[in-house]
Amino acid sequence: MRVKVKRWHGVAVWRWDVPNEEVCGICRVPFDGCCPTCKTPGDDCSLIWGECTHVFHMHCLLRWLQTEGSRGQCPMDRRTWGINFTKLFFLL
Amino acid sequence: MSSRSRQNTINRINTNANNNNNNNEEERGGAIKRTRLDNANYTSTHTFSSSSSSSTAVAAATASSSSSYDNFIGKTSKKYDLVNHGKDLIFPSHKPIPDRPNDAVRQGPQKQPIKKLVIKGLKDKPKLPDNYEEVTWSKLQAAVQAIFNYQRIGTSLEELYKACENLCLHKMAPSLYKRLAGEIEEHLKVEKTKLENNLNENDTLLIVVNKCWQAHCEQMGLIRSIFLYLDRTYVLQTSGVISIWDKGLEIFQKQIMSSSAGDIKKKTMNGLITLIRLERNGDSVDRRLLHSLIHMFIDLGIYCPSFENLFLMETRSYYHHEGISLVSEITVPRYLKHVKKRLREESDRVSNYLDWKTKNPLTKVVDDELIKRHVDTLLEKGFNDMMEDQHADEHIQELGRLYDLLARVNSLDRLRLYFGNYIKKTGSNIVNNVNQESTMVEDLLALKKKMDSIVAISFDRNYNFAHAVKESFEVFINQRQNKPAELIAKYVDLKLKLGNKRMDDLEIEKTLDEVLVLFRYIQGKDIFEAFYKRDLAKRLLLNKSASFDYERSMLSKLRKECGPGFTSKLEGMFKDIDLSRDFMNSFYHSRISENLRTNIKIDLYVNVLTQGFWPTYSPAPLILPPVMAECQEIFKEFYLSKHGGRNLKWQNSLGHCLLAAEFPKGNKELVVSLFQAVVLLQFNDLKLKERISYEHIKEHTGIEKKELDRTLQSLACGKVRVLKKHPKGRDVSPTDSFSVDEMFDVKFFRIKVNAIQMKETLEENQETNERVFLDRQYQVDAALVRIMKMRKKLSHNELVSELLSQLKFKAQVSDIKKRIESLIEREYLERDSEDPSILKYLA
Amino acid sequence: MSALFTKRLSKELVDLKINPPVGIEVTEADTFKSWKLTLDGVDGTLYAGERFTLEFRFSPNYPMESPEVVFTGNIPIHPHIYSNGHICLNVLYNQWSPVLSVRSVCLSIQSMLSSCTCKEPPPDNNHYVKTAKASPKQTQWSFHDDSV
Repeated sequence: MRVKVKRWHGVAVWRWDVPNEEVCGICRVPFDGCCPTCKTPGDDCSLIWGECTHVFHMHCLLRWLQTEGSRGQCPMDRRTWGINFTKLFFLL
Repeated sequence: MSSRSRQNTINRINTNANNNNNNNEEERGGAIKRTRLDNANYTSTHTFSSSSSSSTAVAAATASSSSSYDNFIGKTSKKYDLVNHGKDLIFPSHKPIPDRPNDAVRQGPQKQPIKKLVIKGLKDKPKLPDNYEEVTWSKLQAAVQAIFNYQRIGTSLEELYKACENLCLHKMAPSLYKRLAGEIEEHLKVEKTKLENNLNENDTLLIVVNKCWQAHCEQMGLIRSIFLYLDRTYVLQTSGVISIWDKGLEIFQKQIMSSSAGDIKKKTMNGLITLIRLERNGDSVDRRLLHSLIHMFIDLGIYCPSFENLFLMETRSYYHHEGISLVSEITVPRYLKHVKKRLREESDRVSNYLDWKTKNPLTKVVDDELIKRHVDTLLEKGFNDMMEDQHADEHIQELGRLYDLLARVNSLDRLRLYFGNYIKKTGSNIVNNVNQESTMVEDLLALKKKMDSIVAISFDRNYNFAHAVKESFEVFINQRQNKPAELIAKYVDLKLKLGNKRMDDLEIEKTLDEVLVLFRYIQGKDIFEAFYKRDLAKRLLLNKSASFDYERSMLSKLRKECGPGFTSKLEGMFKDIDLSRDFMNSFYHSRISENLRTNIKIDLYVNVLTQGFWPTYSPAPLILPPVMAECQEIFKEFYLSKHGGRNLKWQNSLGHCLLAAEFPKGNKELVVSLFQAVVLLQFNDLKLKERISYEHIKEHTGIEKKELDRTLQSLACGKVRVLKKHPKGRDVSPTDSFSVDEMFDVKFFRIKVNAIQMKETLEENQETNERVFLDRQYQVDAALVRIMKMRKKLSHNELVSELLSQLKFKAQVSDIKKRIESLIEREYLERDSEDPSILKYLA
Repeated sequence: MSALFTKRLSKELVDLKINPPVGIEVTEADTFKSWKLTLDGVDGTLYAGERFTLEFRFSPNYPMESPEVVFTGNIPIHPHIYSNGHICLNVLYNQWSPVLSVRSVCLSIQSMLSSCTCKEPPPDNNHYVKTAKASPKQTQWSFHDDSV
């Protein structure tokens, strides 16, 4: 007998590339969950990485950057925020 | 001009003009005829023209008395015929007959055309003869007696009428009235004695009494006509005097139908009651007799209360006994039918011969004795049987009858109670029957349908009964924890899965709606959600869904029922499926997949799931053959290039493949799980009949023991056996070895090798349940803290009851206790140092 | 109130209760408007044995905006703490970040006290107390002395 795979239906689960149980420093919600203003996690509530490697819920960070007090700085290290584009959600 | 006022006018004119009695009498002759005509039931052969004497002078002189005038012009001048005819229209039998008076009228003017007519007053006031009253009365008396004795009346009725009128005009009415009453009384005394002779003849008494009554009525009718003038003048004008007819009734009642007059009344009543009893027993009786005599009672004013009371008492006792004996003798449906029949009969009885006023009290007696008294007995004895009855139409009718009858006596609450209890008992038997779980949902749906139709058809769509259905379902369906919720979810799965093609769109919608009603009753909605979600995941990922339209329809129903919070994750699952489709599209249009298509030649499709939406699957290790691993790597690389910041983990247990297989007996396509595929790939390029050991397979596939056992079993011991197990047997053991079945051949080209792994396993069930329980624990904790934070201080029992009211599932008190202890340990709460049953919130 | 505000404060409260830092305790947290915490002087420092009370007042923009933090009652004598309870600490004003929390602020103040070598009020205490507004956040702070 000889068999060959002709068609393959696979299933994969994606998660954010962050350590388990880690929470967003701003809202304290785990990255697996969504930010407090969203209802469902996943594509609708993306994470955002900075050049400084710090990561937040995108909604949380944008909210911070909009405040005057932020002066465009990363909440963690107060360095000027720059997006890490290699980790940005790629819009199809 | 009405005949009455015309009469008065005539009267006045005549009295003024002269006091000629005869003339007066003649005028009255006209009147009597008119009156009779007005009554329209008596035609007299007597006309006024036959009056004894004439009065030419007066008639000619005054010419104002209508009847004389009519006669006059009728004969003298043809041109007045029209007028005459006009009058004839009013009094059709009024025909002027030429006779002596008319001759006189005609001759008068001819013989003495110029003679003056002088009217002079009488010198003496005319006087009646002394014996006038006696003579006249005796004429009348003779007539009355003749009437009573069924003899011919010697005097003409016309004359009798005038006699009466004259007596009245001469103010002799009171004594005339008295004399007449006396005459009636005398007669009835005689009648009474005749009746008393029949007293002991039970059979004939009623007939005799009825005869006597009928005769009385007939005779009094005639007498009243003769004495009409008395009725019209004296009786009307004198207070305290009743009409001749009524007087007749009064005397009849006093002489014959009063208790003081002997037993006739009692015996008659008893006779009637007996007759009615006979009719109730099914004999046929003379209803005309009953009608006549009962209406005699009504006319005599002794129907109510004496007869009616007696009748109602008898009815009560009759139905009291009948109810008690029948209720134990015959089945409830037959009893109900009988009661309906009885009610109909009694209603007919009222219209046949009773006073209509008796209808309500009579109905009440029957209701009381046949229904109200036996409500509980009937329900206890027959309700469950009626509910169980297999003949649907019949039992719906019977229940409708029961409902109608109980509604009559305000006992629907009792019926509702039995109805609710029946549902609870039946439902609880279905729910708690561990051996019938496979049909539980179907059975519940059938029960629901049946109850609904009973409420709709038999119970008049009564809201209270519809509510009882809901209440009872809620009670019994939650008697058994979790299982019903799980089975309902599975039932839905079955309906939404491929292979359910027997149903059309409408049917499936209907079924889903019905199931949703059951779901509504369930307290543990989280259990349903967990199982539903797991089944939905399988349908979506293994392409087993019958239709996405149905899926979305069910989803929107759930959203409507439980709110968007309940379905947001389920919706997320659909979204993942959609996103994956789009992503696969872009994957196949990318350069990166070219290698896959041209070299590896595996048609890869991947569903990428968002972790939070889907059920959590335990990792299932698997060593992929290099080609497949490469294939997977290509996809992963592409995915991560498009989705930065993500990790991808493969769910091997959900993968499935289509294999092209070359067997010695021909080529086939095999639809298999990923595990099955990888195992089968191990057998590639082996020599004929070459075996490989269980351990070898395990080592080269990396599949965990349990999973591998299941997989090998499905390939070598299932319906379609691609492999041969050595030694043979149903269960796989680590010492077994396997070879390809070189004789493998089946009819079809594409073969589905049923994967046991795809079916639900016990552990999987257990797992789903446990996950829900864990989730519930969090919910209990959160609710406890929320309540205590608000209330600060609560007794243990208060806290538990408040918690139970807030939770969406049914929690065990013992579990809640454990959670409270745990919160005390974690210092959210503390016990009061003085009263340990009081809990305090620690802030 | 935004979901971020309530969720975040709830989480902080639970965290402070389950896992309280040494010498710090929540004494009043009935609302999300203001909390009170006690701060114990650390053994072996100038403030050993003393207990102070900190009041946190949260604006609806917390944690995007810093909370207002002052001492109440017994005010520690410290070169960066004015006698009206106002604290001169940069993370409370222009150096605030949403990743900071009630816990981290308390720990900063605790360490500020612990590192103090000389219990004396700020040099401009009298003038400041006379002119300062009720909220320290309305003061223009200049943070020149990071050494204490």
